[in-house]
Amino acid sequence: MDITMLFKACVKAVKMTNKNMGSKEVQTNILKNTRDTNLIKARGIVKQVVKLQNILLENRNAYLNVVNYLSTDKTMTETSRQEIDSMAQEIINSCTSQLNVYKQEISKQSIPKQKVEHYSNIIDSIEKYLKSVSKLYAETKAIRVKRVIETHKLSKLESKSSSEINLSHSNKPSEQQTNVEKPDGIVKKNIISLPAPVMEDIETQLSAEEMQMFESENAHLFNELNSLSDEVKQIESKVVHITELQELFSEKVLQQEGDIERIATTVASSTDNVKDANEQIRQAIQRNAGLRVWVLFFLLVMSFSLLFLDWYND
Amino acid sequence: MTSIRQKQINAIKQMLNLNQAPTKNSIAEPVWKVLIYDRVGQDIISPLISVKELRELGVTLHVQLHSDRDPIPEVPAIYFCAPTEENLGRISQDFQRAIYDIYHLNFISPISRQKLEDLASAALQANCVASIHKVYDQYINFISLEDDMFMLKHQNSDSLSYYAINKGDIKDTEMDNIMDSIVDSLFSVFVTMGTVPIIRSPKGNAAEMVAKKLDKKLRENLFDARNNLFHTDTHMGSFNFQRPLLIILDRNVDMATPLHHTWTYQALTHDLLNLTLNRIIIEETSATGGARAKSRPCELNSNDKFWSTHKGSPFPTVAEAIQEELEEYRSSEEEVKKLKSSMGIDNENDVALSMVSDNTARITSAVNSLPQLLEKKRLIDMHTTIATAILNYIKSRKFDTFFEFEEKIMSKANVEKGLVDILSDPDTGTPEDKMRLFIIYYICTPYISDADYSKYETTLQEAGCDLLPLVYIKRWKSYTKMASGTNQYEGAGTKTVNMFSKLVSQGSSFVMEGVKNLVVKRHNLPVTRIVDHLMDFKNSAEMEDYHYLDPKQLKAADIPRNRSPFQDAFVFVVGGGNYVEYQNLVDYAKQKTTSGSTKRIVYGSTTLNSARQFLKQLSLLGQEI
Repeated sequence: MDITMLFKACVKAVKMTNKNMGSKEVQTNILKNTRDTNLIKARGIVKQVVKLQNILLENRNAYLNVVNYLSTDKTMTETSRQEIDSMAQEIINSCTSQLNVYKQEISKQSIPKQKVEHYSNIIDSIEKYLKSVSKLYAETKAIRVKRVIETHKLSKLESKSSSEINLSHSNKPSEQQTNVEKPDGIVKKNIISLPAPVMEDIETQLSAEEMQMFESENAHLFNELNSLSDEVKQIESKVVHITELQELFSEKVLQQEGDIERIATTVASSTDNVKDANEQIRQAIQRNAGLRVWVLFFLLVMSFSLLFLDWYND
Repeated sequence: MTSIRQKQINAIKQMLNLNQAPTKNSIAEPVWKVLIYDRVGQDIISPLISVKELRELGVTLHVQLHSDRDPIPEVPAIYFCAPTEENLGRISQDFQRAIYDIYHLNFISPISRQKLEDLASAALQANCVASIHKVYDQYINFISLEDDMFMLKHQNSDSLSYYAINKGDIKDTEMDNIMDSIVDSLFSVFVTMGTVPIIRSPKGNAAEMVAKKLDKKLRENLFDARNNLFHTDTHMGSFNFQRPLLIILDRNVDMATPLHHTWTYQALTHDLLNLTLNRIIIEETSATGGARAKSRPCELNSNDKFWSTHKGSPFPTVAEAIQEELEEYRSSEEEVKKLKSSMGIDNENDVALSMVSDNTARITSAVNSLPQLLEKKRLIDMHTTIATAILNYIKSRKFDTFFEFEEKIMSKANVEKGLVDILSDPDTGTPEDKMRLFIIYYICTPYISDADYSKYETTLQEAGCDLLPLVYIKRWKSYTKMASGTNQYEGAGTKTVNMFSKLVSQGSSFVMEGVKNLVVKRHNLPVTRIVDHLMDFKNSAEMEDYHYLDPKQLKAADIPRNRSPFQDAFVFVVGGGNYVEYQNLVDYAKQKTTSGSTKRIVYGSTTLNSARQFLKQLSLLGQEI
């Protein structure tokens, strides 16, 4: 339950009683004098990422509208799409570099432990935010690529069926027509059936056998080309999958890289420690040996002096 | 009806979001904050929200109120503490030192007007009134451990223990303080739930006092039009049917259950491994000669699917389930490994397109499921360690024998001979276990001759037991004999199922030979029986004797005879609860729900006592007599 109002009322009441009792009033200082430089930098980075996120979200619909059915829907040209892509890439890169610089700065400063934890957590949260926004960007890009591939597929289907119709129609009359279909790789935005140039018959009259031969050849060629295009499509989709997997793997590899580096430095420092330890042990052994020598010498000297004194006194 | 735990989590998340409603957007700009809590606040937050979730909510630093804190500029600081003098003093110190720039003060229970004025004057003196942005009363002075279990205090719980309430030299003011704090917490439970319950309680003991005070407090708040905390939702339909039943019981109604040797997974972890606030600390002794013992904290909460399905099952079932999970995990691991080898082979030959497509799909699914597999492995490891530790304890203390015996005693079977054997056998169990067994025997048998009694006493003394709790139990029994005569534990029993052979034949890591595989027959503990009678309006002693208090009605009304049975119930035990009762209530609710009428029961108590702690309190009480 919100009792802020009650609190403020209490403050006023206490102020009144203080005034009545005649105590001095301290000037309230609402404006802050100094701002925390570290936080300013952090806020700057966050602002950039927010800007990127807003741009992505605003233009998302237009960006994804690859197949423009209605002229009233907003859409983008390829160039503007690529502009957005490059700009997003740039912002993400600059943010990551700024974050790294910031991290190093914080580690160089000597500030109490709680503040260090505070700042490192701030950096972590900015990193997470940046990652989520870049994931958003990658997802929209992937959706766009998928849609483009789909439209390619659809348009190819159109051309194939049109050529099939042409084939069946052209084989009906006795006139021979060889249809060469040119699968057009470049597809325009409007799905119009591609023109299938029909080559006019060279010889009007051909024997039935030759017609059959040509027909079978046609069918054979047709099947071959079909299978080729199928394979190409499959390869495309596989490549998309593989890129996704690659992204996952590279992320994991990067994580492991950090770990491995840490382990390497630890190992190096531990070998150093072991070397030092060996050194010290060697010195200790030497000193021990030296000590022993001196003790023996001392004892011998003392015993000889005792003998001498004993002999002398006698 | 969302559970009480969920509502508490929502309240805390809203508080952490600076008391603004949470936005729907999943990707939101991070707002950084610092969380400062005292010990009470720590107990409340720790079972609900993990550190990772705190970081996701933007909390960069969380520290104790009474520690040395460094100034953190420009970031709002959220205070979550109880409004005691000590805490308020520390907060005023913080104001003086101007550690933070923006303060959001949240008090766990409502702060009194006087203390608020003190705080205001301290803020004025330190000249930082402008930086105090919000002051809030959060009514969440309780700890919810599960979706349907809560307790009031964990640290400093001695002030509310059974001993504190029943000791002989208690002063009236102390009693009042204790009652007030209990009522305050119960009140905050119902504010969080948003409903006004109908209260029933027995007559003549601490429960009655709590019930009357709670009724008064609810009534005052309901009829205070200005800050009514219970906003009645008109769209919720006829309010009469939705109101829950609050049953307040005193520990004295059933003294045997806290001492009972347990057999379900959750209860065993509480008894043997000291489960506190859903956390255990396991000591692993290293196998090599060194004496180092690593202690590993394990957290058991509702995210763990295995735990939530098996926390109420008897131990042998749990062991089997762990085996199954392990098998499943191993088979999925095998699949992933096969994938790796098949990929290796394929790289050498020419790859046909179909093979590649198959493998890419498999790789994608494997990579996506890999983190889940790792998590599952970690959980299985944790449960295996816990189960092994419990198994060791059971074997060394012959827990299963005690459990079987107590169940037999509770079902009124004749067990005279076996009892003396167990009590004089130095191998089975610690003196505490024997004491527990004997107290249960004493409570459950209606008559023991003096000769028998002195014989048992000498046997116990030889075994090294402390006899003080017995003195107190004798007195308690004489009091309760006047009230009720029947034995309330009927229907208990066990049957041994020869299922452990299956485990041994599988060559499992759980060598359960020597541990009987006991399956518990379904029965109702006294508390469950009372709840059953009250919820269904059956004709019984409780229905007639218990108070019926309804805060919404202006004058005291009689028990309406034509009401439909309640569907929601809150059972609150003053003086200490335990997991056995909780499990029994959960089983009862499940049974009722499957047979047609839905029942939701929430169990609460002042604290959770393990048998050892309860025995200690009894011996302290026995000392006074």
